[in-house]
Amino acid sequence: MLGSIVMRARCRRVARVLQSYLDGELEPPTATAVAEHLEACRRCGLEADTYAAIKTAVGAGGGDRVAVDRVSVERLRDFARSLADDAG
Amino acid sequence: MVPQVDVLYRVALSLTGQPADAEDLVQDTLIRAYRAIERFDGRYPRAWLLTILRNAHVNRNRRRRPSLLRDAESGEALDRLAPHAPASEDVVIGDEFEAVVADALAALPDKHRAVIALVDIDGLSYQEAADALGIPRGTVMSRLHRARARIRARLDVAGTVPRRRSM
Repeated sequence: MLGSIVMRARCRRVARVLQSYLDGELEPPTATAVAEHLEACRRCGLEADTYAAIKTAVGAGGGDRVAVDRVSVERLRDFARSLADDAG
Repeated sequence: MVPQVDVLYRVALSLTGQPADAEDLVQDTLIRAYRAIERFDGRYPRAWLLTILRNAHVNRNRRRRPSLLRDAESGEALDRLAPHAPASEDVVIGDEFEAVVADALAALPDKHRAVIALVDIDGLSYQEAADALGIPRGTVMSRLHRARARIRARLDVAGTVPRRRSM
């Protein structure tokens, strides 16, 4: 009984920082504690998996875009270099 | 400055939604940066450049299309961010999952979609996204959380949630 109450309190704490955890924005000790909880708690683990999958799916959508734009980026790098040359 | 061009371009693309506009915006940013370089203290060049880019973006919109400065849910600007590639190794995700995420992303308000694009596609930290958008870090976090929760809600409605490979 007490164990499940403690677990639910942990679930709530983890839920509050889950997005920051997935984005790598937590300090290492907190991130470690969250990771341990996600291993131990199936419900929170599934929740984290779902959000990780959303993050991955959104991020994957930008992959093609970045590859296609290499020409633009190169042109801009040349432009930046020319500004640096002018400034120097 | 040259090493930051890649991230500047990706952020500009997220902000403008058009490759040609993004390129113009980065050029504008670089010119402004070189003009102001004597006032730059040398620390956090990416944050400094993102702030310049954001200001340049606001000025360009003010000149050209004032309505875009509001948070109106106007744009198809980021509609092309629909996911295509296979997802993470830990989770089973099918085409249906990706389709629902794409639809949900397209349906987000611009301000939420911009934040999720900067963080998940462009790989910016919360603080960098805050600099790029000219909003507090806490606002980046709340918009990001809300955006993902909306996508999650769509997945729930569609009955499309990922499963763990093991267990």
